[in-house]
Amino acid sequence: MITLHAFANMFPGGIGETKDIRIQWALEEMGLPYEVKALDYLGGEAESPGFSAISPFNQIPVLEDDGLVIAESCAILIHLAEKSGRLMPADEAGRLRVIQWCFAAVATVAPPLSMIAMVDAGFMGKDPAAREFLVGIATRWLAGLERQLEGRDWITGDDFTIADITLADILREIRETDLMDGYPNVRAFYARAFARPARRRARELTAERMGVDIGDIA
Amino acid sequence: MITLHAFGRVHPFVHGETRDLRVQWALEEMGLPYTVRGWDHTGGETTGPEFSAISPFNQIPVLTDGDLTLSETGAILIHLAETSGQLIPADAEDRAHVIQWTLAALSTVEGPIQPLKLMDMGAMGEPGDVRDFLTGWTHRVLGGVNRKLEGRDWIATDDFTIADLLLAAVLRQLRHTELMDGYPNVKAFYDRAMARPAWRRTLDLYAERLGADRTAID
Repeated sequence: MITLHAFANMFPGGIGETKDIRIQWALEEMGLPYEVKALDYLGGEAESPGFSAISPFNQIPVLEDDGLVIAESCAILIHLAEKSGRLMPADEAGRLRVIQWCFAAVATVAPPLSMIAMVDAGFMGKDPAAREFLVGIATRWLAGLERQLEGRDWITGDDFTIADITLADILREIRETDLMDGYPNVRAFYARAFARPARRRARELTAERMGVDIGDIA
Repeated sequence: MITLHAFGRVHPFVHGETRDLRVQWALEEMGLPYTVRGWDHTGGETTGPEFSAISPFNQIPVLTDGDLTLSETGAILIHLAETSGQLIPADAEDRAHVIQWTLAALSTVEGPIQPLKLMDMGAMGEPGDVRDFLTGWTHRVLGGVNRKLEGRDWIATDDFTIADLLLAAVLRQLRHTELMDGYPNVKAFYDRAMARPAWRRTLDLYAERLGADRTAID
């Protein structure tokens, strides 16, 4: 049985921003049976000894699958795709292409985007030089994505994969900025991904779990 | 035949900091035959059409192996490990943990460490609130790594894997700071990894390729 360790609650600004949604989106896409163990984050449950034992950095999400415990959202997605045979091609070259784009999303694209979001949220002071530097890197990666998405719906081609889930959820970090404006392929990709029924279901289930209105989650 | 697309010429300011080191280290560990194609970054070759065709973000390294062209260091290392049967275990559960720690190194741990490095190289504004924030975040991830390494030599399994290689390469960006000092398991792990003959060989080959000062890049 698959158990997803997810947030039961979160401080107001963080609702909808957590990475457990990414995993629940994938589980809904794959149609796998799973249960959710919701952690009382505000009550300190993520720092408890029990959770420390399964999450090296006390991060949520963690996935349990018949005794196997995996952290890191992208490693979880690779495991689920390999297990289910869904959202990842079976042929070796296709599989590697998806893994390449998973790493591109989390290791190349995500760092400047998530830091811009943190600067804008006021977590990192207000040094304009830092933001300017991050925007410079971010636009370089957005230009690369724009080129890659030319003439295709999804980042590796015709089929939607775990790399698209990861990439779309990372682009979400800058949804309140104008950074995607100059990149129509990126913008269209982002809208296409978030229109998927499985993402909508993950959003509904997250709102329900956290006891918030669905409108509180973008 | 495996070809590593690496820097042939790059500004001496970044000598010893580029990611082609990580892939060459893996190739040296695995004892695989390979050739290096050095690209002239200083002369603009990595933004030219030929390199753009193989690297979506015009980033080095890229690996070509027969018909396969792969970018993203993490994906390249997974491919090399899987095809050589080295630095990744055959057991499914252990393999999932190696992939978990490959992503932890490049995503969770490198998250604060790379921008800290960029800031200390003077690329990201003046030290201040941003640096304080990144330092606090770095301590959090080092605490997690230190805890995980308690009573063990390597991060994911009993044996050295690609996850160790990447984690050590990520930590290496802190070698000119005192940040690892409070984490004896991390420090010992880092020293253990850097003492490996394949890493020493990689530095020799790198210095030779780029005409870099061997002592300065260590």
